[in-house]
Amino acid sequence: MNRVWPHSDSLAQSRRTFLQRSAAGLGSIALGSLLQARGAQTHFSARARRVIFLFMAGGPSHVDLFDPKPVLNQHDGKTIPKELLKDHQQFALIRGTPSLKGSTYKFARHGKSGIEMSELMPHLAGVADELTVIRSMKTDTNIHDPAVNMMNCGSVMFDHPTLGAWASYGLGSENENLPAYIVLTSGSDDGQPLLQSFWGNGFLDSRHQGVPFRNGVDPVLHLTNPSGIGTETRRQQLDLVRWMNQHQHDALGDPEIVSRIASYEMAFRMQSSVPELTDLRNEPASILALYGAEPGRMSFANNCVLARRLVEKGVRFIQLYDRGWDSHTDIHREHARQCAAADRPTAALLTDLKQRGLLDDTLVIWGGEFGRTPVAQVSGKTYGRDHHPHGFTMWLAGGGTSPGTTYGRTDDFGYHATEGVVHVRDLHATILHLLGLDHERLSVPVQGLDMRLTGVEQAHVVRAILA
Amino acid sequence: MIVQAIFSAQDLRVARGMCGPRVTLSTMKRLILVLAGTLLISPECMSGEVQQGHWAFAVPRRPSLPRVKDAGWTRNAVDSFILDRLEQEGLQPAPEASRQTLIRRVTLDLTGLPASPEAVDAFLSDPREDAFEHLVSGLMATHAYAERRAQDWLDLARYADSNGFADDQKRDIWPYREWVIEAIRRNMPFDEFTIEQLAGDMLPNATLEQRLASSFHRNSPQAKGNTYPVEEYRIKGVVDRVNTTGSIWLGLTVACAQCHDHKFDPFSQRDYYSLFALFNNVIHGGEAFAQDGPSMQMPSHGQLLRQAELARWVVTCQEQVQAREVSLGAADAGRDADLRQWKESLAAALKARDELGRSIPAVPVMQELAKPRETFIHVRGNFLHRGAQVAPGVPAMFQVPAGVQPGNRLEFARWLVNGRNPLVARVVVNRVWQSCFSHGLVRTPADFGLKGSPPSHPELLDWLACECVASGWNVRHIHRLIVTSATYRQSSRADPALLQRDPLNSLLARAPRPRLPAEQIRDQALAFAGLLVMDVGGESVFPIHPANYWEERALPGKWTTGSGGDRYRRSLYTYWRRMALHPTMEILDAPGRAVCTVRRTVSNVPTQALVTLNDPTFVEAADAFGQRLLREVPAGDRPRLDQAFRIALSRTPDPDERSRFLAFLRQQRERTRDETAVWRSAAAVMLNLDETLCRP
Repeated sequence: MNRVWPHSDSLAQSRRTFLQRSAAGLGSIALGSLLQARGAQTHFSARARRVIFLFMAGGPSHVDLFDPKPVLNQHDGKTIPKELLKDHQQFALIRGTPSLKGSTYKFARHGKSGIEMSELMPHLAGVADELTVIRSMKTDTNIHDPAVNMMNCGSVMFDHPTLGAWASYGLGSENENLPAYIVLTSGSDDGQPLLQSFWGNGFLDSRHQGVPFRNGVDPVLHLTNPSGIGTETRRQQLDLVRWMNQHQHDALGDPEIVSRIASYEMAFRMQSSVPELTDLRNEPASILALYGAEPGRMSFANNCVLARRLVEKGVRFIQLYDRGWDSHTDIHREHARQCAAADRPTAALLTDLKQRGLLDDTLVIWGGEFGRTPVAQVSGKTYGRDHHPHGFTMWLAGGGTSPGTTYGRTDDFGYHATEGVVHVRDLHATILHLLGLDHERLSVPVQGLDMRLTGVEQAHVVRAILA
Repeated sequence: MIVQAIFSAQDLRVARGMCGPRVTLSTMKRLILVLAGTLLISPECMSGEVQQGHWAFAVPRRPSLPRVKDAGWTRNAVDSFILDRLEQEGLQPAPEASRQTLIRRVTLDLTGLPASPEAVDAFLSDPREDAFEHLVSGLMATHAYAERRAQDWLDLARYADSNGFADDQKRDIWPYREWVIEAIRRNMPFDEFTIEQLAGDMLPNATLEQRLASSFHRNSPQAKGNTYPVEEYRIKGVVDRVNTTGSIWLGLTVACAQCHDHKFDPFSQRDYYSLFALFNNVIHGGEAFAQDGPSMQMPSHGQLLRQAELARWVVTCQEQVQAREVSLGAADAGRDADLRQWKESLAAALKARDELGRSIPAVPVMQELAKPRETFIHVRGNFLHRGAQVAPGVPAMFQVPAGVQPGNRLEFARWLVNGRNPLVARVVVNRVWQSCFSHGLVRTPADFGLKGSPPSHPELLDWLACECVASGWNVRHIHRLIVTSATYRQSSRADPALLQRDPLNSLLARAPRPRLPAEQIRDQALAFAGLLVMDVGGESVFPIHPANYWEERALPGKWTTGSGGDRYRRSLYTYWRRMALHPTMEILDAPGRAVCTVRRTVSNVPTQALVTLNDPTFVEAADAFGQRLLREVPAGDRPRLDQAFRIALSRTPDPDERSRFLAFLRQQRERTRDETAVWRSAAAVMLNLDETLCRP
């Protein structure tokens, strides 16, 4: 039986309430499936129980990392073929007709599976056999914030729930001392801003919102008692609050008061459990070295260690934002910087999850809101690459995915996804599937509509990448 | 397969999206009926009969009051409908709440602030039969009432102080918030309130205030930056205006018709773009960070006076300079000290004038293009894929003949509130109801369509809608009717049998007991502390805020915490940044307002407890509240406790509570002799009681 963040077993809860509430009529249509789902918690058996989404904010360059393109390299410097530009608007920042730009990085095959990766990711190459690389991703827009929304919510709008919120809504939490959905941030200062919609609950109840952990003394806002209030005083205050609330409940019978009491007690427990959890000093030196983590710093490496610790505590959905992948001006400098910070900890996370037996039921997702253009965005003596939504790479690991797999293709220039195209909606359907949720059934009534993560368009579970 | 033959693949896809893949036979039958209904009432073959079929699309007629057995319980028409239903269900209304509960409830509901101990005493000792009605009248006459009502309207209007999207820079639209507060304070009839906000700029000889009112539809987010294509993001603004208008006035979720005909309501894609055409003619231009719509200089009274003064002074200086230059001649002019001084004065005056000009807010407003844009259906919602051209107008379901179709925003606004629209008044009174009972009579306040939730008390809804129109769209009158009803005055005690029977409280055999909105939780803490500054209107303020909150999210700009009174203004004046709302507000469920919010969710999570326990605003409030108790009550734990309860809960403690609190004080004194610390600690407890956080 799952233990829960108060009320966070909301789908289960809303099922119960629904059963209480649905006297007759429309409700009875759905009753059968609700009764079924109630026992199982999920629509079918789950392969992944938790998710770590490593979000490379800004958009990593697929042709420099995972999608080698010899033909593109041969055509380096030539004007982009016109036929590639059919059917879409302009580039985000490039104006005029740009030239093709091959990758200067060496690619090689790695592991038994022979997954191809560039020299920018040497550590990740060491765990290549754990990955399911999707080279045929596709999204709807080439602008950062709508594209991040798309990757998180299946919609470019700012008012839709994110994946983590859906996971919390669908599955609840397994830990009564922590939120079901936690967000960790790192990266370069010149990266794109992080907007609250990136971990938003949209039209789901606000209890499904992601809780962003801050770097520093107060990982959760206002976690520390004010000066002059020690633990003992706080306990006495909370005992009195609890007594008064119970007294009020005796008089009024409002069940919400019971939830309030639980919330206050959990807040108290979080005050000790969260700092303990985020303090990496009690990790063994070997583990810190594996990740390249240094306690007390703000870094992607530290966040990867923390993500593993959160997974161990049963947090349902952890999203790491690593900023600074938006390499417009100097791809060599910027991507080298990002990879240097992300490569080792990413590989370490997979290794560490695996050695603890957690990779089997933890789904790790790696990718950005889009890829980068196979054409150059020239900036003086250097060049970068612009935003590219038509074909790019993401990879998955663990959680019921098929390890050592490369799936899908882009064309010879790495421009359009051409084979086994995986639209963001398909990725979402697949993620939910691995969590045991049917994307067509996980819905919430909103002002007369039944809203879903995958919306009203077609979405397909990509079965070929399932274990 | 017949189904397949009749409907396009996309119809089915959307329908399946609504129902899931496991559609049972009965679901499918129902689906077919609904889809058939959509076809029947599509614009081409609209039948009046079908249109009347759905309750919300028929013009409301004022029902007669039902006869109830216990007529003595009823106080006004509202109660007859509520009691009638309760009697049918074999239920009794709850007893009336105590006067202490009533004054705390109604003061929080109407003003968003706690009742002062003096107000409570006055009410408790008011011998008049209609003391409560007097209380309500007094509260409704306050500025605080207008501010509280404005807070709800600003959620609908998606009012925010920033542009939205990644850049999310400041915008100067706060004068619009002032307009809303003032319009509500004057009890502007809702028809005027509608017309001025939707089309104030188009009124003949529009005043400054009327043009300002049109800022309503400039609250849409506006993307600014290098990557946003101007036309695509202009269109997103128009779409937001259509969807918001649909939610607020028509109570219809029209958004889906942006891409395809509505699958459940008689609302076609053509209808959508007819509305779109009405909102498609606002001036828009500029590139990258400069892209924007029209704006209007909105000087304050003081700025106007200063402007006139400076203008006069500039003229004086110019005259003086000119006169001297003429009389002195070129040779002497360079050496004349007097002339030099006038020249310096002129330069200073010009500089001051420019600085003043820059400090006057340029408020985004609506302004029509001289020649309207052409509007085409966007095939599958894609503006690059043009379908048929569409003329401005209202959805076909309203059966407005071609000759009298509203052709522009102003005509459309007037049509909305002509009193014959079946939806508008119902939607309006339903929201007033929601503000008093947590839920509307229709629980989907922005969907009165076929998939919306049917009204719990349809006749009451219609009665209120008719009363609203007949009263000259007097929303305050409706509000007063509701809060003075016996229904509103019931106790919120929920006995287990009733909870079991009516868990959602649809029948209203008791009063709801909702947690207070974010703004009220902060405002009342400041009020208990005696810190709250009650200035009305003005620019948004920057109260205490976590350090580096924007910086660590790489958001542009800097939060510079205000000084003095600005730290303690009502929360409705806090700078509202869409993409990084003040965390105290956000954690307590206030919406970012990227889109129109018709009802806030109310959650109950530990991070909220951490706010009221540890957020510096609440720590400061607890400290000042404790000191207030020490100051106002010279000596004695008991009288101080009584005062603490009177301030926070509008009541005195019962004997059990008193002894429990006294024990707490003793515990504190085991550790400290500092009475300030003891009472600060007790005050913090008061701020965190469920009873404090909820409307009773």
